Amino acid sequence: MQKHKAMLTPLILPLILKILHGMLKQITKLGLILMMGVSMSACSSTASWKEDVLLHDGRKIVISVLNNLGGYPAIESRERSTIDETVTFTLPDVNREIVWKMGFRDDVPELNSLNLIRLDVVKGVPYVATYPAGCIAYNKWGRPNPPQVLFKYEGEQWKRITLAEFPAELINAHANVIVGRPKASLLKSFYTVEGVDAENHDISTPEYKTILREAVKNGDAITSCPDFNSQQYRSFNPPLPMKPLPEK
Amino acid sequence: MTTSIQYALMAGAAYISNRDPKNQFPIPQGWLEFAHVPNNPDYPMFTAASGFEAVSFQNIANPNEIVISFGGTDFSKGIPGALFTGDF
Repeated sequence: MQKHKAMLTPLILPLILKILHGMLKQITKLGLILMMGVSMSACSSTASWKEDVLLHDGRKIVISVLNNLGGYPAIESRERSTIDETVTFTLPDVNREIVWKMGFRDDVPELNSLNLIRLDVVKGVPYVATYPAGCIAYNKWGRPNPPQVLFKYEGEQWKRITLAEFPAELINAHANVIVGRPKASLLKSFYTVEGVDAENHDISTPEYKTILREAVKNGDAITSCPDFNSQQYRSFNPPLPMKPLPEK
Repeated sequence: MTTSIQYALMAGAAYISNRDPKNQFPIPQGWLEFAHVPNNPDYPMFTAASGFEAVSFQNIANPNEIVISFGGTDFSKGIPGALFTGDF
């Protein structure tokens, strides 16, 4: 009996080890799939809210904002990046739904990445004022100064217009929408006009909250962005001539 | 002699694409910034989608001294993307 047991052990042990190894592989695979699932769902979240928007003539409209969110721009970031933003509102008097949609991916060549400052309706025509979010966007939009990009809703689409074409009554007007996105941890479902103003209270840079008439001087804020299309940034040759090394 | 602080500023200054201008690092005094990728029309092989970013600096006092600064992983496209492309 003792001899039989001793012969059986070397046969069973590899079998047990093989089963354990197989189970371990399955557990590892399951863990990896679960990790991927958690990461992917975390990278496809959204943020949405509604805001009261006070128009220049004292009327109010409600806008719905939906942000599709990406990952964290840097390892120390607390807020996710915005992949795209959709703002929907109903045009007063005519009850027509208008949509403003903006992508925020810098890795695509299309003109994009504009932060909304103001949305208004003048003589039944919607207008928006925006500023480029970041240096890549500022260069994509041709480095405007004042550093703002203005649009008019015409022929069922948003058309870029110059400052001269923008209604005079909106020049120097302040932001009437939340500029950017409220912090995820403090996001509310609805913001009153006072709530919108409170969200914008800490913005100290004029071009991020006011529609400017004059160009920004001294390279303030976004106008200080490097001109990536200039020879200095395009060329791989150093700007100053290098000195020949002395012969040894 | 280039100090650690100057090197640190130049290392941080490589992060241009994914930072608001107010969060970008200043260039140390006595250095000139040049040659930025991606989004460089002369070097289209460096696409922004690759996540690679780099910029160079030249010492004004000693033009032979060049510093090339590379950005690290851009997390804005999501961690899984970085995992699968080996961008770590």
